[in-house]
Amino acid sequence: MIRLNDVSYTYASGTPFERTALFNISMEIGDGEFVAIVGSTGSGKSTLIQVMAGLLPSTGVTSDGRIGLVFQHPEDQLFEESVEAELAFAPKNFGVDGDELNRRIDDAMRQVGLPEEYKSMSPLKLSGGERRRVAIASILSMAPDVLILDEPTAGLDAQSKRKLLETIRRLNEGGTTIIMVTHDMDDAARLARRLIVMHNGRVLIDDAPRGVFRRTELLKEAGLAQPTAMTILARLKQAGVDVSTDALTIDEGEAIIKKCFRI
Amino acid sequence: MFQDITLGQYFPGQSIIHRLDPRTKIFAVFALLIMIFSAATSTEYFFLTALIFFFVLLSKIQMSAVVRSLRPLKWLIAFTFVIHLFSHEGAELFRLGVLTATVDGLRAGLLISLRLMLMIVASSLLTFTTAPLKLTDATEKLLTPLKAVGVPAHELAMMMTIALRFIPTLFEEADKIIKAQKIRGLDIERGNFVKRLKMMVPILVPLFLSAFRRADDLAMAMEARCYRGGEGRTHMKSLEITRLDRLAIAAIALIAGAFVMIRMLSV
Ligand SMILES: Nc1ncnc2c1ncn2[C@@H]1O[C@H](COP(=O)(O)OP(=O)(O)OP(=O)(O)O)[C@@H](O)[C@H]1O
Ligand SMILES: [Mg+2]
Repeated sequence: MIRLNDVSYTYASGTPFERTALFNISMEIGDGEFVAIVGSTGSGKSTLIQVMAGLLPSTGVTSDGRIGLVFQHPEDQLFEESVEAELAFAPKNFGVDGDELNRRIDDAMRQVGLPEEYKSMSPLKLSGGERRRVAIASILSMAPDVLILDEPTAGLDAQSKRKLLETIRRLNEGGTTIIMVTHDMDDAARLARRLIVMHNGRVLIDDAPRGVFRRTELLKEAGLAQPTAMTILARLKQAGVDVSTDALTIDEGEAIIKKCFRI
Repeated sequence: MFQDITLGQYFPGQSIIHRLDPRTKIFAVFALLIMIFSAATSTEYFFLTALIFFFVLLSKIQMSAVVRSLRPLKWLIAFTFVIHLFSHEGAELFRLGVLTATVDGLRAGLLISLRLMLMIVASSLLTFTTAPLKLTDATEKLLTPLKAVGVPAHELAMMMTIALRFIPTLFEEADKIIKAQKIRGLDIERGNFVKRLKMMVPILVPLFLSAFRRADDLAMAMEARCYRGGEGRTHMKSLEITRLDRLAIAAIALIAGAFVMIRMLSV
């Protein structure tokens, strides 16, 4: 559980460069939720999740459970000689060893789809996408209760992206709280059960995806698009077709179109 | 963690000091340093403090920023003060074990600390009011005559530019890596010296790797734009000595000249 009570955050406070990135944020994220945080560039998403994880000094933040945070470009934080050592770093710091440690490492490798033989390889000699997987696994191996991810799929190919999102979904089914920053409205609509829209350091909307994407005007104000399915249906409607635009995923959109054209 | 460092930071502005040519300011800082080094009496120190204070006011830089620039060197200043306090002969002030603090020591300590602070403020004023790029341009210009004796003026200036450009980036990067490793359970504030040194590995390895990567990228980008050293390069914005500069140079030269002259006559 993470609770923010009237939290603000200012960078470079007290200098001529000071910049307030968060204004009076209050919210509560319960155990087992899947929350997506969306918003245009500079709206305060990364700052918000760092405040949640307790990395930026601020008052009014309470949380329980272990929080794992996967930064944007997490592959930049790798430093060990082998993938195995990299994955062992976090759990060891939290006092895990022996069989439990090995189990954690194997689990994490399986979760991100890294083959067994990668264990002994140097993380620095892997490809960008593989390094990303190692970095994410190095957080998963600490078995976090809350997993926060900052644009985890940015820069990945379609297949790796799908696999990673699938892993995240499965972790959530297993009880892990997920908080994911994303720019992809389709992912947000399809996966999250709650959507937080950030705009200029404030929470603009905090609702279920369906509720959020119905508010076309507010979304436009926040500089955000709708999911692909909704956009297509809206165009159809504009062209004069009598069709509902209430579809979050491609599948839902397909069903609506099929029904409309009786195919 | 690095938020306190203002040394070498530029605060954009439109004050008289900001508008001066960087070469004028470099000259002025040198003149000030010479005066600070030659000062001996309290009157002279008082005069210099007032002069530098006046420049700070002219620059419209916030006092808090000026004070912050002293912070990284506070231990050096304190250390110098203590050394002087206990290392002079003369009337006893108080005793601390085998050490004796003297009145002369106190006076010397205060003046030396003041001297250090004045030096820091004077040079900070230069970097506070001058864009780094202009500063390197000025360095290059000032070093150009030395090219004849083999000083690589352009290369030095370019290295300075690049270093200045990437220092903030490096701090940002370090900040990010420290946060990332904290999440993974790294505790940099605990443990003895050796343990803490070992704690630096997860921070320094990624930091160096990214610095090398950046250097590679930068070299490639420069080559892709046909960079090949200083031969025949011109500047988009050329430095220019204006009337204001001539006035400032004359004034500061006059003050420094008079100051040093009085100093020499009073020996
Ligand atoms: N280290 C920093 N120092 C000063 N200001 C910062 C810093 N990090 C972020 N900011 C400012 O805070 C605001 C919010 O930044 P933040 O990184 O949280 O945005 P974001 O929503 O994550 O954007 P993006 O989608 O580009 O990642 C921005 O205006 C940014 O300029
Ligand atoms: Mg961000």
